[in-house]
Amino acid sequence: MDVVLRTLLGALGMALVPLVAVVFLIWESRKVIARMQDRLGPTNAGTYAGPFALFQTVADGIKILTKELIIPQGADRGVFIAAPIVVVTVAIAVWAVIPLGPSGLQVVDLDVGAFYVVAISSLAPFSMIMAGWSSRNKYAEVGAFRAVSQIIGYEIPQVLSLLVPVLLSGSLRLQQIIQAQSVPFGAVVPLAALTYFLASVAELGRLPFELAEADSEIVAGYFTEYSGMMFGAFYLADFINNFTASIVFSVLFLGGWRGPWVDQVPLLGTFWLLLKAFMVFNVLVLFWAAMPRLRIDQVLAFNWKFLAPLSIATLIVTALVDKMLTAMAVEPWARSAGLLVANLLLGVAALVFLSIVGRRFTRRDTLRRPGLPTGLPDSDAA
Amino acid sequence: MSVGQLTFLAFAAFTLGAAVRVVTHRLVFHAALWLIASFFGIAAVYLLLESPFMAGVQLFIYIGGVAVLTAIAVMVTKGMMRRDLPTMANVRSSALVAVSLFLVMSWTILQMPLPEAPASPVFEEGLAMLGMALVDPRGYLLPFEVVSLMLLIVLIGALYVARER
Repeated sequence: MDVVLRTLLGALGMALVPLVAVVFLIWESRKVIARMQDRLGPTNAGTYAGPFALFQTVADGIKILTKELIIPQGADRGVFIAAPIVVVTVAIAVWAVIPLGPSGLQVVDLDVGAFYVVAISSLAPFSMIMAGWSSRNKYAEVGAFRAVSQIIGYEIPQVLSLLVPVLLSGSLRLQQIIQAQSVPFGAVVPLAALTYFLASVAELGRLPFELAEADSEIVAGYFTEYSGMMFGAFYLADFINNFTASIVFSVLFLGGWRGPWVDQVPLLGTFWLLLKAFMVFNVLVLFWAAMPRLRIDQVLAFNWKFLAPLSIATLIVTALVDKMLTAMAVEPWARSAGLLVANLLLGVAALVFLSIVGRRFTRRDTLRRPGLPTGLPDSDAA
Repeated sequence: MSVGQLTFLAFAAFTLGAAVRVVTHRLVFHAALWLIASFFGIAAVYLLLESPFMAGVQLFIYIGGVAVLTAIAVMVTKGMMRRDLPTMANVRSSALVAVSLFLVMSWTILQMPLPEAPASPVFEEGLAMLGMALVDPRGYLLPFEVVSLMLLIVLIGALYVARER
């Protein structure tokens, strides 16, 4: 019973971490985006939002709680109400296996931790389908379709490049993946890290892959009809997912809680992990502020014609090179260096291939339609 | 009854209840959602059996894959948003099919010898052994490769069907 109680308390504490962190992260990303756009963002002028408007998110949260929940007349009531619950549950469920520190600072250290993360995040499109279908709104439905086709497609490069750290550490256990990173995997297999990062940006629906809620095309996508705190739930889940993806990326490719002096002070590991995740999160925020939105066919073509084949090639090359170097019984540093060289060569090969194909497409397009600006090739999606 | 048994009974009841709703619900989309709920119950039972890998597979393949595809298929079906529902036809013949299927399956399951002793405890290297068995020539290498070949054929077939003419 003691174990049960401890697990329950741990789960409760861990579920609170993303919810509290998000309050700060929303404020921070609003500030960063405002500076990128030459604005001030939330300020404390004329409000009681505290120094630098630190508590603006709290004020917004309270305001949104008081708003009326409007359920459209034609909506499928039960499913409409269930969708925001599901989306937040899925967003928080991933935190059960996040290792916040060397030991103990994790709810469960599943032996299939990395797989659990993938399995839980594969539930995300399902909440979008629920929201999009139950709203009985064409924009919502188009948004759900876009989200699902995008997420199902980008799951392939994401899982394939997640297999690379699993392959190198020989375990799906997140703690063991961190233990194996005396050199962070991001420095050993940068190509896998890059494909994983791009695929998770697409999974999150962050710009430039923000097709599911493209506000200039389909209002707000699958949550068009939601108001009040039900909209707040989608907004919250969006930020939690961004932060979770940053943490998972830090665990898989940036060495998790590893850092100086962690052996002496284990709690410092949490600080290192959160710091790494915060930096990754800020890359996402900069993407958000700076990127244009792609077209849906460009997004899908980029995945199926470039990212998925590239991640398959990365997985095969890494497996072969790693096996060869292990068979030759080289030093650990030589193994890392060999993998790094193989990854860089593959990356250069991919870029060369891309430029050749791109040039051919451009030439074909200009021949067919003279006067067309030569930019990205038209996707001739199959 | 122990806590484990009570939890199992709760999840089993949930799974079966959701499964009943799948076949009795008149809205096909709701039936698909109940199907997902029932998959969830099965994943929870796998977790109770201390097999998180099987639970993950259940979530990843059945909910992330099969159920999402089912829901999309339902969404693009014509007239799925309509409120006037078709009446159930052929109740008798479908009941006949269902009952005979149930009888055949329960007979097969009852024929199977069940182990008397409790199953061996899950050991640490279980997942690694499963992986080794799948690629071992004396294990399941041949079925594994045949399945992958079949999936490749399905992929090519889907591309052929979907290509623009």
